[in-house]
Amino acid sequence: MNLERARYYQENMDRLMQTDRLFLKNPVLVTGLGLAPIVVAATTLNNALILGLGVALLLTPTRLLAAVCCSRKVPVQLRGLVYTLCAAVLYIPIFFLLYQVFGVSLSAVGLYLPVLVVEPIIIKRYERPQPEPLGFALRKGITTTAGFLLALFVVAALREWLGLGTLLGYQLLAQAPMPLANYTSGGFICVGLLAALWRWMGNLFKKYVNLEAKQEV
Amino acid sequence: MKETNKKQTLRHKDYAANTEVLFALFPLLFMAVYLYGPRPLGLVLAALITARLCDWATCKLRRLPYDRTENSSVVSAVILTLMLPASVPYGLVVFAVAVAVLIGKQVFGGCDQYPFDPAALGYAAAAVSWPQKLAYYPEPFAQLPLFDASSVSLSQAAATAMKQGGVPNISLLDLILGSYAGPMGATCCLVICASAIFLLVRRRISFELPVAFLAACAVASLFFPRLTTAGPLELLRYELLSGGVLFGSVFLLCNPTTAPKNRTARVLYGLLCGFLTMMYRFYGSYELGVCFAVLLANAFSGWLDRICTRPGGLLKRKVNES
Repeated sequence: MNLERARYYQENMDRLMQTDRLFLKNPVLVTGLGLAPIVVAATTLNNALILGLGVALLLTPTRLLAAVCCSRKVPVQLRGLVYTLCAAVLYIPIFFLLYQVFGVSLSAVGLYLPVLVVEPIIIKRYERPQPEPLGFALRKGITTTAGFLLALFVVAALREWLGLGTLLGYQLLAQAPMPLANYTSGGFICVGLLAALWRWMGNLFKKYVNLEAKQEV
Repeated sequence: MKETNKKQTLRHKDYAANTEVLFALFPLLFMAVYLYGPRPLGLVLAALITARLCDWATCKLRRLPYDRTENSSVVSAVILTLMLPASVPYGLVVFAVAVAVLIGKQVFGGCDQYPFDPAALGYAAAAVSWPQKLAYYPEPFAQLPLFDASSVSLSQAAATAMKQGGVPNISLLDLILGSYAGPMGATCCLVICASAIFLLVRRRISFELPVAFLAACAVASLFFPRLTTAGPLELLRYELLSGGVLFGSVFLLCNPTTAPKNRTARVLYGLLCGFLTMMYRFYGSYELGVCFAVLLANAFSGWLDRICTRPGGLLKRKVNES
């Protein structure tokens, strides 16, 4: 890493820790949002594709629509309801689109597709009383979606390989190394261990950046 | 006074207690080797090595000094292995012990910090992952090969017959001596009772836990019998002496870290475990329902201690202020 880049990261590390929703503040593995669909339903990459497309189509439009609705003087107590209603309204066409793409295999994720409507990763913004500007809603919606998709696909690939010995249906191993990964209990263990590994990698990155920044030209 | 140059190594505070539990488990391992050949010994060795490696690796990750005298993982590994069929592959034992030590113990902070019994957790993880491998047991006195046991003929557990309302074809002597197809170290009731007496005399376990547990199991068996063709004594015999109930009452329930500390709480905990064990045996799919019951009851252990030790006691009587 060159010195300028290292110094930039070092000086802005506190800000990046709050704004980088892909790695340093991944919404799933660092903040703990969106755990329910990932732990229960993301047992294969096929399921991850369904959930990922659902969240990608739902999260940013919900935030934009809710930002528009809440730009008027909506009482703080009703903001949660507004966000959830916006998600519910947008879910209807999204469900039909997902059905066109995936057909009956939507049932593999079961209840966790409609539950996205009340999932904290979609509607958490309602907790903050200040109305959200549209530009912020768009930017944060896209970055949060990217972070969620990254965690979703990593966890799903890991669980499918461990639990079934396959990836996207292609058999890679004769026997599944850890069939427990197919179940919710195994999902919790996988996500927990991955979250620990993620934080460790984040700390390693910070140490590396500090070391590089201390180099004398 | 002469000065001694020898360095005195300080042992972990639970070293003596855990060592005595291992002494109590040794006769059960001996019985397993007597019934199934050298394979149980190989499985236990694999479990011990896995437990030690997991402890060492965790200490390295946490940058803590590795204490060789902290042997609670060894005890959990031996208990877990003795609950498994002698025909399980080595990989299954390694997986179960790794889950028990890493997830059951180290994730919560290590020795004395875990809320759930590691041996029960490891067994539950193995049972959920490979239910077919844990549902069938080799016949006793079939000398199992040390490494590959895939060609050994297996039979169903006694629990399967009992779940269908049938009486298992096992004599009383076979039940007491463990000469029937079952978990390799949890079938010999005579040796389990002897181990329990040893641990009671050494004050490593308290009598309230197993007595309350077995009493609850007995009451549930008598009032809700599932063996329609058996008399009350025969019913009690099969319900209490099979399915690892006696083994669980001594080695799973009496874990000093997960069991309540207060005497009244222990009685309540034993009763709760007994009730849950019988529910799992009646309606569950696994032979050793006691493991799942212990895990569920562990969640109540701290709460039972709190309600039994608060001022005024369990019934929250008014405390007279002087």
